[in-house]
This record gives sequence, structure tokens and C-alpha cells, in this order.
Amino acid sequence: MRMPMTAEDIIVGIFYHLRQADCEKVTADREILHRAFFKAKVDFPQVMKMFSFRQRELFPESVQLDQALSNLDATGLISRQNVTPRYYRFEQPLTTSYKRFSEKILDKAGIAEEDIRRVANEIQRLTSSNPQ
Amino acid sequence: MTAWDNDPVEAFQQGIQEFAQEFVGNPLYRRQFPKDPKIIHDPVWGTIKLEPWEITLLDLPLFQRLRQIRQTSLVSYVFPGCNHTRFEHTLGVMQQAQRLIDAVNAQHPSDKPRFESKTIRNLRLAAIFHDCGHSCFSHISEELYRSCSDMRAFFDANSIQCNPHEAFGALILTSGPVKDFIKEIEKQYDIELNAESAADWIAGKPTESGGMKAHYETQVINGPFDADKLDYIFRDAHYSGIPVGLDLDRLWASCKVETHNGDKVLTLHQASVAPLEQILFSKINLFAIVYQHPKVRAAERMFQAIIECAKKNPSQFNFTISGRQLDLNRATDYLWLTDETFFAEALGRQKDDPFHMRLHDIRYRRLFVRALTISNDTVDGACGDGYMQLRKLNQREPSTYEAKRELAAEILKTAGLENKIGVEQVWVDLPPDPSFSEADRTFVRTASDSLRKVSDLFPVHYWTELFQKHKWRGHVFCPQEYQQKIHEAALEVFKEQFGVKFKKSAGEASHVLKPKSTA
Repeated sequence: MRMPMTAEDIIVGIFYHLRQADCEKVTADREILHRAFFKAKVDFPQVMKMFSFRQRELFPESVQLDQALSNLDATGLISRQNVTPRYYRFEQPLTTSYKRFSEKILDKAGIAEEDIRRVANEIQRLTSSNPQ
Repeated sequence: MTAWDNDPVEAFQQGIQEFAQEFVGNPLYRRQFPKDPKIIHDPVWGTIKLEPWEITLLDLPLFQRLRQIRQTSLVSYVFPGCNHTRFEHTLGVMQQAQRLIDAVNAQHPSDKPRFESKTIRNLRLAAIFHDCGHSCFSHISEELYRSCSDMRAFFDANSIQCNPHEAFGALILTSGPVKDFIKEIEKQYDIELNAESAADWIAGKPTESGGMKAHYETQVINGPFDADKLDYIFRDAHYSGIPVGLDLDRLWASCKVETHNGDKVLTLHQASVAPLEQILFSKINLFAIVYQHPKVRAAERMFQAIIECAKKNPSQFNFTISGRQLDLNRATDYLWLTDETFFAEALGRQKDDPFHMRLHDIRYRRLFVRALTISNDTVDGACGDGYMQLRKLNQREPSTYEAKRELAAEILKTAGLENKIGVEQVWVDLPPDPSFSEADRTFVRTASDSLRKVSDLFPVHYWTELFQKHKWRGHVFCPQEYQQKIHEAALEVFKEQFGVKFKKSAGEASHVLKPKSTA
């Protein structure tokens, strides 16, 4: 079976590279995240083509991003801690997931590792200006 | 050569025109313009008053066909009372839209209402048309036509962001035949209607004037606590027998238009957020208990199996409506289908015809059974990385649909049943998450008169995460007689493809006779 590339693979790639850069967590503020990914799509349309956005009252929202974060969270690749969860923490299975699956899937889809790293830097810049 | 061969976008637009011409523009179906208003009694909301121009529209085949489209797809095969239709829902949305409008206007001096009579009329027009783009079994067929190449081409070409049925509704409302009919209505009743504004509201687009966006108008029809949501939550709960408690009076009493970053938005007072939380909680309940009930999902996959066959082998099916032979590879052809016409396809077939049997398997509730339950509770916790690769197939993409069909074929092959049943009898079903973005779209007036999002004050998303972790269930479905073999084959395939191991509970939760474990 040919494994399709989805928004999850892009996010796993982004978070993996953030982790490689000694970043252990990312904000869980939905508005900040959706705005950051929207901006990343504007700057890196080819890498971020799996994400579509709908402009609503306040900020652009992506169902693919919501779904992917939910899947990563539900399967233990990221987690929220404590009763006031303000960030997603990257867990160990994130690395194994990237190495075992997403790295190859992204490569087959023609998305270069360097491009994912650049998107990761962009996401870090956009989300860290709003520290949680 | 047809437009379909040439240009899918053109074919899509032509398909809308043809549908609107038949269901609105055809003079054969015209009735006299009524002179008097009408009162309809609705089991959920009571008295609903309709103006003559509204009755004129509702009498059109475009809306009468909604009586043949169940609001909640095939839910009635599990919750027998859930037989209400898109037509009743349409009337309910008109009623709720009016209540929302009245509540907002009550906060303003009567000589300076926030919603003026012209706007109210157009909002009611939008309420009437908001679901006219639905096809048979509502949202299940939407999942199918959204991936048709003509619709995808049209969405890409026009950067459309809304849901496919909303796009259909807006496009039908602004089509030539509908606009012509609206002109007749305007003349007959000496009123003005703005189809363009109403269509924008259906698609979730705010009207703009002087750089200011009037979100509050759109939010009556397409917003975080819009008339559509209020009606469907109440109505679906009422007919499924899952009671919900929503304090709508409190919601209305606090509803007010305010300015945010120069735009006008509907707001609630901080002390009145509870009804919105009730709405979200009821929505979670409806998804967990009703919409994603395993038997409902099984029936929906059986419907999908028939449509899949009809798409692959159009010549073997006879979906003919008003003399038009439908091609279900075209999104706009779905508009012609209703629940009744779908089942009617079996009428012309012999009783031993395979498709007669398949259609009647749904109709007479000989539904697929579960062969495997996929959830955080049944998957071995140590294989999260592979589990994520499986679970990500719940994204709504043509590629994930194909991947799930490939998995089903692999399971069938591993079970050694290829000569017994077709791949359309085996389904890997991974429901997408319901959207709960309302808390980020609702503005709250705080005691200090500032505007904040509901989610800033209360982390509603925590609920949705709990839903995903503890309530979400995926399944493998198949006919009853092959349950054991498919169960064992699915375990093998998921282990082989993803490295995912299952506990015995994956079979126990599916009532498999001899549940196995790979954990």
C-alpha cells in the first residue's frame, strides 16, 4: 500500500526539526497556531499545499491543521500537560514516527528536508513571539 | 463533445444551471402566487409564520425535494424517531433566524433597529436557501461529491473555502433561473430581495461597506451559534430521543452587536456564556451517541459502496430523474438525487440482482457488522507512531480515501475471501473529527467592556480533546458471515502495514466470536 502524504506528515516533520533545534514545545493557542500556519502557507505554498484555510470572523482556520494536531495528540506524539494546557510538548514517538514513516513519505512527495526545516523556523518565529 | 469533456469548471456551472432550470425554472411546476401568509406548526418550535413570498419559494420543487432528504442520513436505522427532513429543518432555521434577529433588535431603539426590514427579508431568504444544495442522505453524499473532479476544479478556480453543500446553495440562489423567479416575486409582492447578499451569507462571507465587515449578518446564518446550529442540535436531539438542555432565552437576552477591529460582530455577555457551552456539549454528545454510532457508520459505508459501484460502472445503474440519466462522477448530478430516488433504483431490478440486494440490505437493515474496533483503548499503547499513520487516514482527502480502499482490498485478500465477496463489502472506517471551533469564533463582552474569545475564558478545546482520546472509534466493517475471517485478516494487515498491534478488546468491542490479539 502506498502511504499518502497528509497534513500530519508535514507537522511531524516541522515538530521533528523544532525538536532537533532544542525546542521541546509549541504553543497550543489555536489562534496563534492557525495564524502561523496560514502565514507559512503564504511563504511556502508548495510545502504547505495540504492545508486549506477558511477565513472566518477573527482568523483563518484550517480543518486539516485541527485534525492533524488532534491525531498527533490522540496517538501520543505530542501531549498537553496539566489542567491548564497552554502548549503541546513533543514526545519521543514523534521522532520515531518521523524516522520510520513521515521522512520517507515527505521525500517521496518531493518535499525536501531543508524546506521543512525552513518552515519549522518560520513556525517557531511566529509562535515564539507569543510566548505561552 | 460535451462541456464535461472540455472544461470541468464550465461543466460544473452548466450543471447548476440545468438543475435550477428543472427545479425552479420549469413552468410545468409553477403554482399561483399565494396571497395570504401561512402558519405552520412545528413539533420543535411551535408556530412558524410564513409570508406569501416565502410560501411561493417553499412550494418550488427545489424545496419540496427536501422533504425526501433525511436530515441525519441513515441515523433512523438506529434511532427510529430520527426521520425528520431537511425541509423541516429549513423551516426551523427560518424561525431561529427570526428569533436571533428579534433578540438583537430588542437591544436597540425601535426606530433604529440593528437589522432593518430589508436585511431581515434577505436573511430569511438565505435561511430558505441555506440547505437547498443537499443531496440524498445529506452529509454522506456531500463526502462523495466533494471529491468529484468538477467540484474540485470549480473550488480551486474560484478559491472557494466553504462546505460543498453551502457552495451549491449559494450558486443555486444566484443562478439565472432562480434570479428570474425572484424578479417575478419582487414584482408580485412589491418587495426587494438581494440574492447576492443572501448567497454570501450562506457561504459564510460577510458583506462589506466602507471597509467595515458586517459579520453579524452572516453570523445569523453561518456563525458560531447560528440559526442552523440551534435548529439542528435541538431537532436532531428531539427526534433521536437524546434530550439536550439549552437555555436559549438567556442566549437571546445577551446577544448584541459590537465593533471589533472596525468590524461588526455578534457578541454574548460574559455572564451568558453558559448556553454556548451547552451548545458545544450537546454537539459532542450528538456526535458520540448519534452521528458516529457504529451501526450508523456501517449503514453509511453501505450507501457509499453502492455509489462507488455506480461511479465505476455508470451503465449498470439507472438513476434517471425527470428524464435525466445521472452520472455520479459529476458533483452537480447528485443534486437531482433524494433518499427516495436512491432507493427507487432497486424497483426496476429482479430480486436476485446483486444491486437490488445491496439496496435492500440497507432498506431492510441487514447492515454490516464490526470486525475490529480501532481506538485508544484497543490499540497497544507502544505503537503510537504507526497508529498515527493509520489514524491520519481520517483526513478528508481523495488520497486518504484511496488508501482506505487499498487497505480494505488487502484485508479481503489476506482473509482469502476474494472469490466470495467484493472489496465494496469491506470498509476501513475512520471518522473525521467534528469541528468545535465555535469557542474561537464567539466574542464575549467582559465586565470591563472589552471583547474576548470564549476560549480565552474557558478552555473548551479540552473537551474536544477528551472526545478524541476517549470517544473516537474507527472500525473495520464487513458482512456478518465473514466477521471472524475479516477480524483476523485486519489484525494482520494493520500489523504488517503500520506496525500497529491490537488488544483482544478490539474484537470484544466488536462482538467477534473468537477475538484475537496481536499485542
